[in-house]
Amino acid sequence: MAHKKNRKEYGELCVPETTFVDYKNLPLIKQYVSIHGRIKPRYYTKVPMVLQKRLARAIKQARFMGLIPFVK
Amino acid sequence: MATKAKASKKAAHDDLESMDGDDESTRRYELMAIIDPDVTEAQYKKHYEELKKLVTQHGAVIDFEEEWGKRELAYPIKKRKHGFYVIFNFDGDSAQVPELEAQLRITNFVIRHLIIKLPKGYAPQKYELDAELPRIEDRLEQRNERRGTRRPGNRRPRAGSGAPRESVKPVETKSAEIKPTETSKKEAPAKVTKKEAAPEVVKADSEKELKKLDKKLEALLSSDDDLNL
Repeated sequence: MAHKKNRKEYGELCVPETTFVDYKNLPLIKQYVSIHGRIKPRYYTKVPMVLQKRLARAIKQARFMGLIPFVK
Repeated sequence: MATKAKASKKAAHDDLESMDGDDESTRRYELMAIIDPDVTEAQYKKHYEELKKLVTQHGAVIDFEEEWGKRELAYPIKKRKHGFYVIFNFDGDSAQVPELEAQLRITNFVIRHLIIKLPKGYAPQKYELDAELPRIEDRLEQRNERRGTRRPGNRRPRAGSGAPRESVKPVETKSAEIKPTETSKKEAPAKVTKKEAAPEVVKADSEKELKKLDKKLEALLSSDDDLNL
């Protein structure tokens, strides 16, 4: 059960009343990107699988729109 | 714990269904577009209105619009380093969205666009886009505050490990400062004569070099003048 204790809270990542991670939420997204601009793997983020996938999608959308770099 | 996880998974599944498996033809979408920055403000407003028209022409009802203004891009897109960001949230016909997308691809002043489906219950949010990240220590403190109900024994060592480092650093610097002074006191009498002699030579050298540089500079300046003539 240790790994479950280490998990982050669910709600703070999502838009309220949804389980949707917004690509416009740059302060949040930047926390899940390494200093070189890569998506942090799940064993660092401790985020549930569903959210990790949404997070990855949000990061990719933000990259596409030139909000965060692909590579630093 | 297990029940909670199950509930969250269920919620996520429902949400996925609402995003992908809806039978209704109308759905909420969000369009973000970057408008060419090499235009005047009047032209930009024209482009903005045109874009709005384009969206409404495709059977969409805009219920939220936002302008971020001119922002620096994270990397150059079509050789532009800046862009006007525009966001529309609209209820659209799912059959017409591909057409809208095709039109957007053709329009010259849109250098990039993105259309995404919005989940049920999405309300437009405002974010502090350029806010700096909080320091890791602050984030740890926040987390600890949030988990205040936790037993103190569990997390103390980790939370405490940040503080001693701070206290250690100044000590190190102090010792580094102190050591040279001690050594200088000990070695000072022996090295005084050498130290006095050495700087003079250096000074002389530096003066010579300065003079040389001055001459070179003058020569360069004069040659520049010739070139200009």
